Amino acid sequence: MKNWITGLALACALPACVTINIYFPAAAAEKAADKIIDDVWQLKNGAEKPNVKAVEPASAPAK
Amino acid sequence: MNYFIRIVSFLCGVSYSVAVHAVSEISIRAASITHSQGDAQNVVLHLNFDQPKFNKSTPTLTLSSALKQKSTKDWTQFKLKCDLPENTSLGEFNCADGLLKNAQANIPFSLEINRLFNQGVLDVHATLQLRNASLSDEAGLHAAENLNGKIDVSLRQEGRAWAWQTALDWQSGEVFWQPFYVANGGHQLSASGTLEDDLLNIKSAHLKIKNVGELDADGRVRLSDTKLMDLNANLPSLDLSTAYPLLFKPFLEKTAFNNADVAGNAALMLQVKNAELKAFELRLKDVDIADKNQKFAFYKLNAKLPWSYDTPKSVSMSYENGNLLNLPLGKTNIQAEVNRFSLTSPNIRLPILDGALNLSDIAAARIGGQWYWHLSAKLEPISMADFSAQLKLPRMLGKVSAEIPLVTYSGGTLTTDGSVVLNVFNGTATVTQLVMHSPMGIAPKLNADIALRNLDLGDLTRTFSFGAIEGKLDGDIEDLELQSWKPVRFDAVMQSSPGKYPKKISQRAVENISALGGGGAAAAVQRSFLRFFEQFNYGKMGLSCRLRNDICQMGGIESTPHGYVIVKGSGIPAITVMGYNQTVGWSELLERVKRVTDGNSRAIVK
Amino acid sequence: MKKILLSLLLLLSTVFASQFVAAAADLEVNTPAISAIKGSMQARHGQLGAHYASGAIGLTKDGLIAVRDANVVPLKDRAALNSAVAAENADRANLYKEIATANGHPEWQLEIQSTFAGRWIDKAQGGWYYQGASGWVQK
Repeated sequence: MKNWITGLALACALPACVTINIYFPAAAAEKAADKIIDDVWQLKNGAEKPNVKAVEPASAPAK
Repeated sequence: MNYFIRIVSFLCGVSYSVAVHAVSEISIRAASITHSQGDAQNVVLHLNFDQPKFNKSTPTLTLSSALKQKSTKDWTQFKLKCDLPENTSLGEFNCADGLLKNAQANIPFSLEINRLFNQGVLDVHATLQLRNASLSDEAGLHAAENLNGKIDVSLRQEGRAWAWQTALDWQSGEVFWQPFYVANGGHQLSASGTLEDDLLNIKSAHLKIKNVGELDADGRVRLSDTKLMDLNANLPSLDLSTAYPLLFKPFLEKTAFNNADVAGNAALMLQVKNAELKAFELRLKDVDIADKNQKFAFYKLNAKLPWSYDTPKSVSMSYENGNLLNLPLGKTNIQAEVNRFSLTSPNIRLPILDGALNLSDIAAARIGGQWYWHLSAKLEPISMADFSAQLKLPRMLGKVSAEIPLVTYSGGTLTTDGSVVLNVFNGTATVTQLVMHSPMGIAPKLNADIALRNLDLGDLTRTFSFGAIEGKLDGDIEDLELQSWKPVRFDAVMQSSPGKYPKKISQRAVENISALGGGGAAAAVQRSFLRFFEQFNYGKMGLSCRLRNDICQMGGIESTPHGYVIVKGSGIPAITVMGYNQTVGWSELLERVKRVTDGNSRAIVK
Repeated sequence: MKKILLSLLLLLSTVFASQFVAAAADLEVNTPAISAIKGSMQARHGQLGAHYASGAIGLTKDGLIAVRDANVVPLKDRAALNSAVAAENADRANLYKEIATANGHPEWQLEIQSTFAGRWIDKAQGGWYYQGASGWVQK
């Protein structure tokens, strides 16, 4: 039994043990940042085309 | 040897043409001169004694050079052309054509020197006229464009000191000198004083700012670090509609007053001693100030706000009316004592709608650029009818009153110790543990616990255009958090109040409650024989919602294996409403409530 | 005994690991506070957009913005430019703080800020300026 737990833990936990930044979800933060930046700069689907002059009719509000 | 001059290479050519009687031209050229403070290149000094154009030959002097300070990289071109007087001892020069030019400045000017010496003592009187000068620092934060102005300077040596006098006439041109912006000229300054060593004494100065007001001042400035040592300034009458954007707004950027329309009159007296602010007195006369985002407004504001570092002062302020976060404020008088960086007042009464907010034992202090204050507050009853109308809520009846023994504000957070009691819907709503973060900011936050007791469901359902329900309701909303006045978290339980009273629910109300659970359920009532009844008796009703992350964890008065009971029937005919959705999206739920109440109010109008 | 200790240690790591997995889910960015700040920044971008393009302002390496060269802006608009930059930076600081608190980790604020710093620059339009290791760089 003990070996079984040890094995399981070993399998899924070892990489996490050496992760330095275990708490901060960097990938999720990037995703969140992208979402907000797209909204603020009105980049459509992340396309590199910001609506600088804001003359375009407002697109449907996010969400 | 501070001013050590090292001449790297000095080429001097005196070219002259021998006329009949005298030398007619002298040119002196230096390719490069270096100095501990700066360098000069291509220096050309050119003297011309013979100018055939004029009957009376006037000698002219032309000087041109490239100059550079040791610390900078760019060279500045300097050019000056002057008519020299016949008798140089008078020291009359007229230099019509001067230019100072580099990458960041282009300053054409003319210089008139009327006098250089008087009885062997240096006694200069000169006039400098700028002609469409423009300049800017690298970041563009200190810049002037198309500047025309006349500067009149007299300077006379008096023992170790210099006596000076100046008149400055800013004729036209715009200036941005962070954080100030002046759009056009029309301003004048006249001043006189002495200069001794590194201390500039201003005996008197008079500044006239067009359309804004006038300033009289005297003081002392240390030139080495341009530090204002002493100052007595008096601005007896300022037009705030022009003075606010020019003089006050730049200093209010980080306050709530940075985006307002201001009109009225102000007077300001200011005293600085040994580089420390010693005293001021600001008087406001019939000032109207209104936030452009409609967060606050005060009209006919009159104030006398003296302050002194050394002695306590009484301040007074009053306004005819105003509003704060959409609540109208009535005529108010405020008296307070200000003692250096703290302010106290025994009592302030702020009339709001038909009631008033009484603040007492007020103490405020400014520490490290932040305000801290505490007071106790008592709200004299305000009618909910007016209150709800002002906040554009459905019309509610009843009164709201509050008694908070201690309100504290520290670093943008407002905390209360006590309770706000709202007498609404024939019952009470008690708000406790009320905490607000940055109430005037962009994302205000509010935390509170609310206890509802014996709310009359008849009133409540009529107010919110929900189908009629008779009965009483208790509720506990705990750990409530609002952001931007929208709920983001709470644990709420609502249920019938204990006790004996008529409990009836209309068919429409049943349908509406069912509709909240998503369509379908309502149709079941319609299809059954129950549709023949107008209203039903119930034993108990209740609903709970635990809101987290925009998701409401729902519950009722009882749990069943698959759902929960919202309305439990009693007597004949009895009806029981069940809920099955354990989780509902909060935004979705609000949508449904809105649809239901909107639908009903439309039906009533028809 | 040694074996027990080892498995205990590993068990502990699983706890951490599961937290890691949980944290890898999306960050909450839809609170009313974040929406309010976002709305304010979105409205201001109508004004700031042209200033990014002209090089008057640029993106700093700490996730804020700064006046880079006000000379391209008429004198009369420079005060407004300064206040817009100040207001934008106040909003941005507030945004980073709100995201951190909305996710129950106020201590994440700085990391969120530096994440944003990189993303703002990555998503900036060509021609805009950002702060590199040694001063302003045009994208």
